[in-house]
Amino acid sequence: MVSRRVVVGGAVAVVAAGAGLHVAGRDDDVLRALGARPRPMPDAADSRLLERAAADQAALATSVEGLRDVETDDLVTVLRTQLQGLGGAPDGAPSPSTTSSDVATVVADLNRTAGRRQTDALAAVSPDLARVLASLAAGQSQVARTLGRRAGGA
Amino acid sequence: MAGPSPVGPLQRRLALEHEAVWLTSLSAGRFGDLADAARAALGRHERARDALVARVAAAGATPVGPQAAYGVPPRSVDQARGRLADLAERMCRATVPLVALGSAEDRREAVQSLRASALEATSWGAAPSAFPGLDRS
Repeated sequence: MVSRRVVVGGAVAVVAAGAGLHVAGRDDDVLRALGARPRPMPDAADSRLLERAAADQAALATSVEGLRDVETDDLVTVLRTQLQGLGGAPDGAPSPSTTSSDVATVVADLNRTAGRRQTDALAAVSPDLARVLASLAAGQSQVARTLGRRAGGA
Repeated sequence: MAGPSPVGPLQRRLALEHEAVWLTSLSAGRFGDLADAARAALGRHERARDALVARVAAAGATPVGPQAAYGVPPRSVDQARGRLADLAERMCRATVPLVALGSAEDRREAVQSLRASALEATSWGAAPSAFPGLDRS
């Protein structure tokens, strides 16, 4: 059985890019099949960064999915792909209090979360995790910009 | 113990900045619809180019220079947008390796540059990507 532990770059697209991603936990054979590199002793601080990223990502995806006045299907796909790349949603669904039906609020949340991931990328011990978090932040910023434009913002 | 040398990745990024200076300058001059955005991008890429030249030289290497041209110039606004978006996405791919090389300040610069390149790609019409610079497509 594959337990839910910490995975960076589980997403096929990321692993397929040959980024040599840092992976900690999960069944080693599964990880090797994905092209990722198992590491039995993850840095505890990195694990926390990753878990926080996954929790934030689940909330973001839920928020954007809940918007009704703007086209979001492609953006939700991007956010869900990011979540998959972080190893999937953590135990416990995002709290309803973390979601909003207001586009401007969601855009602000996206930008704030991207800023947190940038900060986390600077703090990550693993170079692989730093690259993934930096890229994740960049992708979240793209989603925020696109969503803002569709809603009539700059 | 010294880490891997960042010179190779810096040179690859510098080569793209040279291309960006060429393409944004040309786009600003030829396409009125893009003039303001291309001029603003040109300024950013000139500053990035100069900073990279300094970093490569400080590392003891000779910075790569620009080519005379980078293919056939775009003939339409749509072509220019497509080329600019593609270039920004290539910059993302060239910047990701720099996140894990060099000092803490170098990492900070790389993280910020990656975000800037990703947003530039979007501004020229690229669709959002889950992991800019890491995606294969």
